[in-house]
Amino acid sequence: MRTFKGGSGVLISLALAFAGFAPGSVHAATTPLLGAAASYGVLASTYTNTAAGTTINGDVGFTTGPAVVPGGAHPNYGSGAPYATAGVDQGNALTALAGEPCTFTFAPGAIDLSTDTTHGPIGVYAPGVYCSTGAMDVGGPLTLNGAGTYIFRPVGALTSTAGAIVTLSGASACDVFWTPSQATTLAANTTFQGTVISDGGITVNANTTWTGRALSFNGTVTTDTTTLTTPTCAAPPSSGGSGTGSITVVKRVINDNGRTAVVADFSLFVNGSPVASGVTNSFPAPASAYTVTESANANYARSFSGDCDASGRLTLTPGEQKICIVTNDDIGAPAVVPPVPPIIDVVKVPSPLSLPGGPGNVLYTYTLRNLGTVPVTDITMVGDTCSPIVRVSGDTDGDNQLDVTETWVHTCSTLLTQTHTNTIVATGWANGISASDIASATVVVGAPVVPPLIHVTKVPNPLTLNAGGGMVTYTKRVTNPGTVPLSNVRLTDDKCSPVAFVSGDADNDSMLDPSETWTYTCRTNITATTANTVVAAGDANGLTARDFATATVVVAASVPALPQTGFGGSGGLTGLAAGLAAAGALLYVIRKRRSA
Amino acid sequence: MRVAAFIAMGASFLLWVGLLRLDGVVTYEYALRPGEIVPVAAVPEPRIGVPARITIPSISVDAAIEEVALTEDGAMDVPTLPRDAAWYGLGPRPGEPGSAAIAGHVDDEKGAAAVFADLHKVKAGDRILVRDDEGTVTRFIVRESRRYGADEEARDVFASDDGGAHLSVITCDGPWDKRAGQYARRLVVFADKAQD
Repeated sequence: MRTFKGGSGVLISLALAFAGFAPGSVHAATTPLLGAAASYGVLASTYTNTAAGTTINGDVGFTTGPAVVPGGAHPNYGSGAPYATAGVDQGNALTALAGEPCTFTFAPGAIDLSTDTTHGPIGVYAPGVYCSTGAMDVGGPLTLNGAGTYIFRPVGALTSTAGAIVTLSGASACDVFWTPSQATTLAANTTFQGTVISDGGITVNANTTWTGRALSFNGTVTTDTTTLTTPTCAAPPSSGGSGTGSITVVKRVINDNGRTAVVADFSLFVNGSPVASGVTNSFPAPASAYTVTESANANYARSFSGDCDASGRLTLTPGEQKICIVTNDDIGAPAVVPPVPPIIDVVKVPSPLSLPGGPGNVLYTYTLRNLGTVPVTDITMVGDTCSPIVRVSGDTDGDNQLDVTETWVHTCSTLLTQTHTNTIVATGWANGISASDIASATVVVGAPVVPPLIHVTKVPNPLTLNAGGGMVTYTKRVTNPGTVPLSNVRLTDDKCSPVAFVSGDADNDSMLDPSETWTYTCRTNITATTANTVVAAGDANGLTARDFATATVVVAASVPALPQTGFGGSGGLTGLAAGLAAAGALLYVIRKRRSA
Repeated sequence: MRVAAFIAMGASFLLWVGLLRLDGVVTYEYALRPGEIVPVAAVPEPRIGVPARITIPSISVDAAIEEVALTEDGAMDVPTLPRDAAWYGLGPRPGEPGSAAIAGHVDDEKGAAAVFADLHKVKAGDRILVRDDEGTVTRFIVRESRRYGADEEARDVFASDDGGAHLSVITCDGPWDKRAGQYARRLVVFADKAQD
């Protein structure tokens, strides 16, 4: 069961940095997010079941199916979606599990978990990561005692002895993982708990009762009068932080070839849960397998930028704030004249920046500007935790368009009870193209720490190019809207390299002071419409501030048809002469008839 | 306590950096500080005005230039006067990087020779001069001539991506197509900006 709610984004670095203010903690293993694999009881390349009497309560995924269909409820059966995604997520979960350091390593060789006394009390295990260099056998009774994550990692096979019973005492089957490097074989009449992840194959013998999952996406799973039930799991517990991170998905739409879709025409999802553009949502963390998807639209090409990779995937650690930008560029009648794209910029400044005495009111001021050359319409401001956002000034001519000369100021007031990062996404339109800007600001509650703020703008020159493209110079300006100087200022651009510092460090101290504007340029040749994203980051007081800027350069897809530069010349004259001659002949015939 | 805080901060930064390097994403990260990187000197580019006059000495053309855009059909528009040439104003100016296009009629409504009636006589190596509205003359050297079907897509005529400044001079050519009401072909003379 995934938890999903709007409105409790927390900043990445804060959670970890603030661990320093909390009592020291010991590292404990964490339960990975299983993603689409979570709903599968059996996930295999080949699933074999030859006997009647097997019950699987959970999805059953395979490409080669069983002779006898198992009983039980399995909404997804076979190789249809989300089978393939589940396979990827199985791999990610295994990677996450493999990254957990061993908390106990058995003496070399095979080990019987039920009789071992080197790890602690015989037959009883506390949460932890148990590693062996040989096979592991559940030789008899085995009790998992206490809430937490259990990982059993044999370099070798995993087996059970007939009649073996795994018992949970305060533990959850959701948090028990078995990751053998070789095959798993559960003997007849075993009572088993937890999720086995191994492409080495999983064989479950007769009359075994199992609460968990048999995940062997690239291997074979065999059952025989088995009862396997997929547990219903709450959000995985975390090792620190709040156990959640936030994801903000921002949609950009470019209609430079005649199409007309708007942001609302695309349905956005994070791991299948619907999300709205610009809205910050919290998700369980840590997790290595979040995927941003959207409703298919063959008329638009899609690309991802920001914190997600080219496939829209991202990872999340507790307290982290991730922003994924999804850009859709239309596929239509190739335009000869490129439409001019808009550019907008939003800066957010909280007042005060910190509430060392504890909870209190904060006033956010959002300053919106038009950095382009065309008026921007249909402005929306979406904030994650503060409402209402009220425009207090700026639309001087009252036309509700953000004109090139205007600066709109919005404010919003809210009560903060804990350290919080508020994210705002401003979106506007011009000539069928959307522009977005994202601003985040952190307010520290309950600690005498002033958080950093950073702001970046990016303006391309030119904004449009004819077919074939050409050179574009991006000018990026980085400022510090906060009160503490920033160190280690850095820029990341996904479409232009190298980024060169031009000027701005007035006092030459390598710190971005609140009074300074640092200018960078980057020049690149582009041949097709390009939407790029720059991320600026800077550090102060142990915290990292980030800001995003996006810009679109539109390249015409087509050239004009060749001009019609002639009138027919002598051909036209010949035609005229022939016409005159024909008319003359007609007149002659008519006259002749009349005179006859 | 301080050590713990420091480690946590370091971890958070490493995480942040690490996360930028997800598979399949090409990102460029720069830890830029003043002094580490030589400032970029702005390259002054000569300002080029709106083209006003075209001269092709080898065929004795010396014509005024009108600025045109597109017809409703999406074709480059043509000059209003047969003795004038027309510059495609939605593209680069002659001398700017890219391919500037200048068109002229081959004949007029009465069948008399128009401005580019002799364009077919132009040879590789001939000079074409374009004077802008501020009197600056840009010289081009003819590279080649090419013929296109009337409806053929002529990307090379309007677009180039080599960073150089090119000029395409266009007129009509071939037999008169009565059904289509136009000449069957177009003659394009391609020229490159002369290196000073």
